[in-house]
Amino acid sequence: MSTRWYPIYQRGNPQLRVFLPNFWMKMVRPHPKQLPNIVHFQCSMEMTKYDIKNYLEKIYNIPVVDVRTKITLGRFRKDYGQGYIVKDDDVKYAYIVLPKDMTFKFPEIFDSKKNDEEENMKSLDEAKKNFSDYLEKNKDRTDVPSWFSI
Amino acid sequence: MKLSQILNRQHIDFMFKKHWAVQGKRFPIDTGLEHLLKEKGIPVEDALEFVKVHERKPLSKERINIVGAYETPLPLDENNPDYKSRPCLTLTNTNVLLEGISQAQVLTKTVIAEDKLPNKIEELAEISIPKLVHEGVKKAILSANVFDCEQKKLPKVKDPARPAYNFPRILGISDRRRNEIITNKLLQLVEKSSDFELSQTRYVLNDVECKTVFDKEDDLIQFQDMSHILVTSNKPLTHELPERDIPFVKIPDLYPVKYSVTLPPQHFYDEKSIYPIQPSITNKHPHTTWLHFNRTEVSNIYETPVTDAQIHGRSLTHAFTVATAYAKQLHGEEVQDLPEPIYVNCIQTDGQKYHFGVFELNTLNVDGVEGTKNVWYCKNDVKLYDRSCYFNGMPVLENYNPKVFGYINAFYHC
Amino acid sequence: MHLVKFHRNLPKFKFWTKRRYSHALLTDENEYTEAPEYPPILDMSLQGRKLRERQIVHEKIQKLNTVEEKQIALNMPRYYGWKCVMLNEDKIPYNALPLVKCYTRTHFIPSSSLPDVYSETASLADLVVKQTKSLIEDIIILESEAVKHNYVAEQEKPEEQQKEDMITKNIVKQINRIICNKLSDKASHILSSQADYEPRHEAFWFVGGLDVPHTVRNQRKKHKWLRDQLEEPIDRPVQYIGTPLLTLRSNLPLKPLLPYVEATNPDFKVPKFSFVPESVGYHTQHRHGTNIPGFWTGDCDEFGLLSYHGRGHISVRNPSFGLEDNVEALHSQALKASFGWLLGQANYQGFTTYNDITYPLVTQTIITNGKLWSFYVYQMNTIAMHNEQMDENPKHNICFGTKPLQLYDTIENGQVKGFNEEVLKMLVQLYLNAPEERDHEMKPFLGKEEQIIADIEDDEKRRWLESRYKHLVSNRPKHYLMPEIYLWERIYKIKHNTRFFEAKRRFFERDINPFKRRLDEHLPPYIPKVLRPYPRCRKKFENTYYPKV
Repeated sequence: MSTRWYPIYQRGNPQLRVFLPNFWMKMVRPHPKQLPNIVHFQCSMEMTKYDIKNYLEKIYNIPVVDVRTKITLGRFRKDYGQGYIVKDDDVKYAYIVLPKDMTFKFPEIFDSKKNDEEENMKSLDEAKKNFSDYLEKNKDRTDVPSWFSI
Repeated sequence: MKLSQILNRQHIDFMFKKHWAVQGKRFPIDTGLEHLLKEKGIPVEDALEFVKVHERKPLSKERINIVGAYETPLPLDENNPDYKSRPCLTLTNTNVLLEGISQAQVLTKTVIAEDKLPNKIEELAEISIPKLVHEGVKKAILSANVFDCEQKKLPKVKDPARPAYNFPRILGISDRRRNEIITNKLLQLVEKSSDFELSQTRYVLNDVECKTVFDKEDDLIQFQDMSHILVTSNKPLTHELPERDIPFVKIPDLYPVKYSVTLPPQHFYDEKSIYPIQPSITNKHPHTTWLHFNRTEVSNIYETPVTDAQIHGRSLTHAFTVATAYAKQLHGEEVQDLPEPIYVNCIQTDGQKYHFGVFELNTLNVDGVEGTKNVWYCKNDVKLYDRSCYFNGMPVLENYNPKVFGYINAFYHC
Repeated sequence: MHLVKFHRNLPKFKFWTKRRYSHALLTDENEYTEAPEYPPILDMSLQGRKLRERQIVHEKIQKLNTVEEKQIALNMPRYYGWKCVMLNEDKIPYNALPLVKCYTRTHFIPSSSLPDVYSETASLADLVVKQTKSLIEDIIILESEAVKHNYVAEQEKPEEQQKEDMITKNIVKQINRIICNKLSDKASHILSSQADYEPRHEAFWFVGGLDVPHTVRNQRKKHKWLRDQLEEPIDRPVQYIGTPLLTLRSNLPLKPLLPYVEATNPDFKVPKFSFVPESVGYHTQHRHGTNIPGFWTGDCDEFGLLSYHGRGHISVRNPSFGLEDNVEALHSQALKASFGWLLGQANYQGFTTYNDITYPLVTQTIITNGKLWSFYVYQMNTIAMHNEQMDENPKHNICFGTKPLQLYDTIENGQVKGFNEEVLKMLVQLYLNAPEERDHEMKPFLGKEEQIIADIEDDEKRRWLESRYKHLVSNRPKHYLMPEIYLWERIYKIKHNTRFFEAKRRFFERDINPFKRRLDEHLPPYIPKVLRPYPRCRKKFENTYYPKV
């Protein structure tokens, strides 16, 4: 819910479409195979297609050809510890169509993080291997503790 | 232990009952705050008292007059500026006259020559038409009744013996579409088989509206009618009159019925007649007007089924509407007796039956029964075919009558 | 008495005493051949077996006798209809052309004039243009200004679009009338042709090799044996629906523009558009696939000559799409409309989306609003583009098309200014393109005697098939609603198993996919006892005649 009331439209008034509302848009990673000129956003539930178009055009100077929106149902999950089923909030998605000669690629911000993860995995693998080696080595004396060795 | 006890363990009502038992007896938990505040000398007010004080003087809210995104139309009643106190009795193309042809005769002050068309038409109708064209007509009939792919809901099937029984709704070609197809295809065939010299002097319009407003005795009457096809020509249609000693059907006396029965009065109307083509156009003279009889659309204002006489009356009022609208455009709104008669051909059809007529407009003064009268030559109820439909999964066309196409051809050529 | 009973039962005993395990001795001496003859090696993988199953179905459809049975056969696998990608004639999203080109497998050749085939009628067309020019100018003035038409706006479409299409329809009717009247003594095919106003054009086909929607991929993830085929492309059913303003059709097909061998020319290769159609802005709908070229089977004028389409939808398109995209939208409308109509005609010749056509078909399409005219000539060479054929089929369809051309500049004081005779000439040339008899078999996949169900001898079968076919293609709502998972069930039964104590009666609890139900999986109509034939008849249900595929 916006904390500011949208002024009621009366016939003859100018159509106010930008009035400092609590509007926000968040770019999200699209499905793996998607037309290159389509960008996915999550946005504020109150935004209409006109709002989305104006938001992107007026603030970020993005040429918007078409806007399609959809509201997805929030996830249902069991509340932790309680056993109730609770529902997450619904999300409004906006699919922005850019002119067909433009392409958009979702930026890879967390490339370095990915590398870290790989390293972690590597050390984990090593540890696993050591452990299996150890098991292999001691398979004929299973009931002897590990510290009991030469 | 009884089985019901296990079942009742899962009983959802138990849960509700228990829940209500708990929720119904809630009382506020004493947090000790009141005591604490009193110690410090801060006055404590009962919340319920506080609410009561504010209830006594409600805040006066200013109401916004919301004008809305568009102007709401004014209600159609006496206070509307367009309201006219003198009612106009209206006949549209979706309702019919109660007394049918005889009431139409009185309204239009017309005498009828039954089963009689001008000689020229009868002669032209005798001309033999190539077999290829007749094949085309058969194709047109089949394509209108059988081969067209429209699948709309047809009217409900009712069995008079058991009126409450609901039959499955049949999907098929609606009568509006059937008539449109067959009339247009017949006309196309006529035009294709005639000379270009002739057909370029004609013009064919679809779905045009004619309106005529006139006084009869004390009443104001308007006919709003739609020509489904209006063939026009570049010079006015004339007919050689047949011999004078035709047994005309006289204008009948409708007593006890008044001529204006079943014409619903309207208070919102325009007193100007409308002829759909502007006077500056060369091909403006009405030649033949085709009227469809769509059984699902045309009805009596009291739910009785439409009779044959009413259908015949419809042809006459329709031809009268077109002719007078044209005459008023030609001679002005106030014209009474015409210097030259105006002729209009009229073909009414429900796809199967054809009603041919030629209307001779002599006067627009329709008061009384004396003086100059209009004349209506007609030939009614000619069947183009007996049956054309899917029968046992096969397309059927029975008893094609080639004479009808001869008449249609003659109407176009005269 | 007992003897009689025994005699009656004798055939039954014979059945029991049949020597089931004995074989006739092989009398064939040539059991051994010079070179060893092995049976063909079959691909026994899951995909291989599925492919063979599909191919058997395709062959069965090809062998069916009548057009209508083939159409029912196409719909046999789905009781609730296919989930079709809907291609509407007058709803064109942004950047629609690549998808339409791929889905209709069409190579589009933009040109400024008609193809060379039309040059032979140029002189006659010039003559006709000279004689009809003034008449057509009159029509434009009359229909644009001087006539008051009665028209009722529908709720579904924007009013502006309907108004424009209404005026266009009247102009087109008049122009068609003038040209037909003029040409009827010069060209015999015009005299015998039929003109239809606003016929119903529908076409249904499968497009294969497309990306998997992520819902399908999620489904595949659930099964172990499908994990390695997550990205396997799928078939998408496509349904075209359109209403031209006016069509002309005749009993003979038009001449091909290019020889049939040109169809496999690699120059005409169409780039693949494999993104899911929803990402362009198309939607899907559950419905039975229908192939209707504007008439039911049995009409003798089966081949289209030309069709007029309105362009009122362009005027209500989003202005941010730009003028350039509007032209592309017109092209895609023409491709859809031409392919859709020809596919309908091809289906009436006994071909289906699984059984490719054996000869090219041609149509001519005009998109107009009375002032701007664009002309398209379309040659259909192939209609097979389902999963197996999408990449292997070498044939492509070809379309020549012009940009929107102006017939006149303006109308000023009842005078047409800047009348463009070239446009009228092109229009007349389309009319003068005479159809011709082909010297090959037109209906190779239909029966010899029975080609449509009206030819079937058996009264009951004919009646049943006719009503079933009409019921199917009407796509009227089902008597029982489609099964539905209610939201509470999805939450408390499927996602979270909170009601484990309840009896499992619903379809999703019993592993039934209602959308996999076949068309014939229903009880046939019950015969009440009084209506059964007299001495004791145990037959409770009426016969059904679904094609066996």
